[in-house]
Amino acid sequence: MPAVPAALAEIEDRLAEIRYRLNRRTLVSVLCPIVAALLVVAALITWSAARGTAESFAIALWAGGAAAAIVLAWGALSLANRWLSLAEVARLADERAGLRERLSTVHWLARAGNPSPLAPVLIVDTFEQRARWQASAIVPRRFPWEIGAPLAALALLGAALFLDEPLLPSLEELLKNQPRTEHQMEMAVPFPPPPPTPMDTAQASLDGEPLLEAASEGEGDAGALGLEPGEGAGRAATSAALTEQVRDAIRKALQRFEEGEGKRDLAKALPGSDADLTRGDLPPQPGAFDLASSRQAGARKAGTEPRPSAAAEKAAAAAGAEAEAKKRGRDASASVDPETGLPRGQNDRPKDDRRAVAAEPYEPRPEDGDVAAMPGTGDAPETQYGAGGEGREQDRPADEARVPGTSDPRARAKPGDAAVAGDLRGEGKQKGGASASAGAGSEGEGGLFAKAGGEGSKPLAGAPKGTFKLTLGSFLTAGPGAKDKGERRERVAANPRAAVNEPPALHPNQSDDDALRRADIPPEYEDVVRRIYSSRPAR
Amino acid sequence: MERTARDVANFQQQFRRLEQELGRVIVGHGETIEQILVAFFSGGHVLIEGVPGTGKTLLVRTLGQALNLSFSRIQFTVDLMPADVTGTRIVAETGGRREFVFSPGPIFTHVLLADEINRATPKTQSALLEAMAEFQVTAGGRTHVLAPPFFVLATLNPIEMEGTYPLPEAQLDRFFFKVRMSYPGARELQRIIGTTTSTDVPQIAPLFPAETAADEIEGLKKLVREVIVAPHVEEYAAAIVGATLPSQSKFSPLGERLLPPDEQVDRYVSFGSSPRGGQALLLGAKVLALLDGRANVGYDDVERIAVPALNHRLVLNFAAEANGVDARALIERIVHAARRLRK
Repeated sequence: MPAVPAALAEIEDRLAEIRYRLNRRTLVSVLCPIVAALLVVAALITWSAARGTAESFAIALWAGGAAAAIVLAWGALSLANRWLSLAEVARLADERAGLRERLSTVHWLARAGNPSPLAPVLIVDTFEQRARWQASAIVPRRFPWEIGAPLAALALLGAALFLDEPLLPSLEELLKNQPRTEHQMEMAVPFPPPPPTPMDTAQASLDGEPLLEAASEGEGDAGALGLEPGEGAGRAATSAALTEQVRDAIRKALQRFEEGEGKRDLAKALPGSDADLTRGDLPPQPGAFDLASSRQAGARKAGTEPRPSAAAEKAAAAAGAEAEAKKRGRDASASVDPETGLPRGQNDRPKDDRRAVAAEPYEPRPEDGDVAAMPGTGDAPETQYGAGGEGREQDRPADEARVPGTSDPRARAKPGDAAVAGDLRGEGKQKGGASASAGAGSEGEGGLFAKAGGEGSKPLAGAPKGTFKLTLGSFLTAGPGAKDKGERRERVAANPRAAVNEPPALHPNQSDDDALRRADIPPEYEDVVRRIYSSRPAR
Repeated sequence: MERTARDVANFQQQFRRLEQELGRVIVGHGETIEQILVAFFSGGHVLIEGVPGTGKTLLVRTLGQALNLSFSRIQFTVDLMPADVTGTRIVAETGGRREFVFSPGPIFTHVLLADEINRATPKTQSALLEAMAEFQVTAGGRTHVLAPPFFVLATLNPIEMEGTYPLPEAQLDRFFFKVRMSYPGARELQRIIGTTTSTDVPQIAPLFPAETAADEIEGLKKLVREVIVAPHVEEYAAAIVGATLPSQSKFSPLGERLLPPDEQVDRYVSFGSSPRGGQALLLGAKVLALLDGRANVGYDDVERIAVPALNHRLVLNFAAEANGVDARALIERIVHAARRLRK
């Protein structure tokens, strides 16, 4: 029979060992879910940081922080409730070993110092039954399956960490993942399609294909942007699909160009254009005044007006107005706004309103028929003004196209009327700019968001992958003729700056347009234009 | 004095021998015999409820013979007077002088059988109260201490209730246990009629010599009180006793209850157990622990002793009688509810 103190010490040691095992198991069972939850939260935050937007990251961060706090609080409470004291361990061992409260009574005796005469009997009796309450019998060893949860969460975190994804999704992914909805179309309205920039022209010329030619084919960059050819989503819809940041970047770049900075840069590159560039106008081109006045006259004849959204068109209109003023002996500014190129009557409309009108996406209407769906003219493909997206109008003669600015699809211009053709080009530019701006993608968009090594574009030297560089190139010039395409492509490929420095040349089709624009416009057409624009409801 | 395991073993041995001796005379009723012995070694008294002819008187007499203690029997009747129980002063001539001397009644014995105690008047019944609780008798202005051990076994005849005086609750509370003796089974009845109708009468072998029997028994009773009860076991017993109290009674205790009020207890119980019930619970549990060879009380000991210790302490109302609800069922329900306190 062992000495009572030794037996008591042995019992206490064993109780402590059992307590250690039980509390360790409790610790594992509480910490594993906590760690797992924290890892899941970390994975969520990491994932949102890598693939989400700033808003989603902020939401994930705050939600994750709150979840982590809740989990930690739960863990603390759970640990406090489940953490066993020696007395509780003794009672638990009594129950598991069927000791009839021997251990708990001995533990109480050891703590309280009860001088019961039977205490030694109880201690010795409990000690002699130690085989029944060994630590391995009370708390048998087992594999802690609870660690599976944190391991799985760790794998999740690893997957989130090592995802080979860009920090920001590419433009193509954005457009592919975001279906076009009416809401997006509405969102596109406040952001009118930018006019063809010199960069567009230059980038288009890199491939030897005019930008507007590709756009007017009806596919444009729709294919490159993941849209179905001919969907006519337009650049406005494309812009709506962009993230706000990208859209801002585009808007700033275009605004910067329109404000003249880009033009000044361009003026440096183009010889002999200082005077006009300082006014924020387009650089003078040979015969530009004649071209503008001819175009203005063509618009008057057609009873409509070219859209002011294109800077080149504005310059041409202003130049035309000046030329016409010289002709008529009156101030050009009295009849034509030099900024917009519109007649004064139209210029009374608020600027934003006009922009909204200009950016109105094209939606085919049943009553319009094929004619209504024509944003461009039949001869527009080769021109920079016929940036229509549908391209169906190419098969139709220009004289059958609906007179822009009228609601009656039956209103037709007279065949052979040059003003009609000029007007239709203007309409085509207007509508095409809104509804078929997706067509600017492969060429025009490619100038802004050129993918390195992508088809139809040349990677900028030294530019990192997935970035774009905005380059101001030539504009207001038609592309070279088919004969010159190959040579020009080679030159541009050798030196991209050649697209900027090279003197522009008029396309044969554009020369025809110039001839149309040079035609005189009767004054009554101006009244017609004013009446039409004043009768259109404000938006 | 420090005890050893041998003391515990000796208690077990004496208890089992006593059971064997009683079993030689009393056929069957093993559980009743054990409960009576538990109450005896706990220092309590037992109220035996049973129909006539089930061996109540034989059991008590045999117990006295086996323990080698003095034995008395009082048949309670309506005209029984207290002095007939406790004794009275009589004129006696001693040394040529006549004086009043106290003549002890039948209560001055070690083992007393109060047969059909409910037939005596409350006045006579109450004569037992002081003796059962205080182990002393006051007669003629003088207090006489009863020699230990003093053990009262009262019987209660549940039939022929006309002209009887049911025991008041205060007197019932003084009984440690109330056990029930039912009719024997077929095999037991066969043995009873066989052994009691032959010339072969079983002989009882006393456990202790007559000179030391009282001391030996008192020693065993002291050992019982030395059994260790941990606080959580005491809490368990107190919870059971407290759960017998209806929560809506004006005598309900204030403060926290260890167990939530039971709906059936509230409905059927007028008065619950007194603290004497808790004492009986723990003392009986201690005896059971010793019988199990342990020096400590466990939850199971308390649970086993709950029904005989508490069932006569619950005063049921008319609704319980109308619905046939037994105090035993209520106690078992309470014990079941108290098991959640074990963890």
